[in-house]
Amino acid sequence: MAEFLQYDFNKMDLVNTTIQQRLGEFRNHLEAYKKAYVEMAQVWGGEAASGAGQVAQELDKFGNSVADTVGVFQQRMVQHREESIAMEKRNTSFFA
Amino acid sequence: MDSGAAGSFRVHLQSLRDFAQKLREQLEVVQRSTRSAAVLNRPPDLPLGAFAEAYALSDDHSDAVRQSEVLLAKVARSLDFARSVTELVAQRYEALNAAGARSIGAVGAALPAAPNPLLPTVQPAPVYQPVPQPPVTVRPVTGSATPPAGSLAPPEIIARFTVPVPPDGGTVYYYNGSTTVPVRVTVEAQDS
Repeated sequence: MAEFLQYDFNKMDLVNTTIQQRLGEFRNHLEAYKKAYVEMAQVWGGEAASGAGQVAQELDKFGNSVADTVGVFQQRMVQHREESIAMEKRNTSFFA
Repeated sequence: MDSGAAGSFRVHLQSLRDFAQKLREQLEVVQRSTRSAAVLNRPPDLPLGAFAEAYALSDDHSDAVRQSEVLLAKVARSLDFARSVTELVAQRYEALNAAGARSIGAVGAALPAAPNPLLPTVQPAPVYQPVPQPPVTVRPVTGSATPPAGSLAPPEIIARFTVPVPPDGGTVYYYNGSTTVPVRVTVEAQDS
């Protein structure tokens, strides 16, 4: 347990925005990888094409999983932020 | 506990718990005072006398003691309220922080493993096996040099030496130590 509990709601918002941006960049990079593998699959034949196509599909699934996880993280962070603000208001009302 | 305009708070939980403990101690002191006041409410040991002023003084004394008891009870309730609120606030902050940490921390457990696609099994590249060839044997040969066509000099054997077999269509050069001269070589089998 930390000695101080320090909550800055603006920083929480900033972190969420930054994570959203990073997720967008991640998806762009992943899309570029997928495109490269799809192009390889079109150029090659036989098992190489099958392997490249499979890698592209796996990257797609992996990207979706990461996006889902980040989405859950953001959702919980927003929820925690809102709960913190509500509780802070209740607590300070005792001393008003 | 700080609450800034930007929307933040900073809580030192141990300070809140220490404060609640001090309130608890003060409450005990006030409760002891209340018990002391109850003693005062008993009839005085020394009778003031059977006259009007004595009765009035005794009544005033009893009123003052009762009011003190009421006041001390209010103080005790206030202290107890402050103590319970302080403990509640500390518990709420602690529970909020712990619940948030659990909720957000549990997201990491849902992270997917890195993809491990089942790529087709890579077949080992075929090993190149060279076709065995019979060993090449270089037999020493002898030859005689003849001047080029058109030469005025008659054919003359100027030297006999052993040279490797020239390739088909190849040219053999004779080097006399200073210049290189192409010469025609007639190859004759040694065993003839």
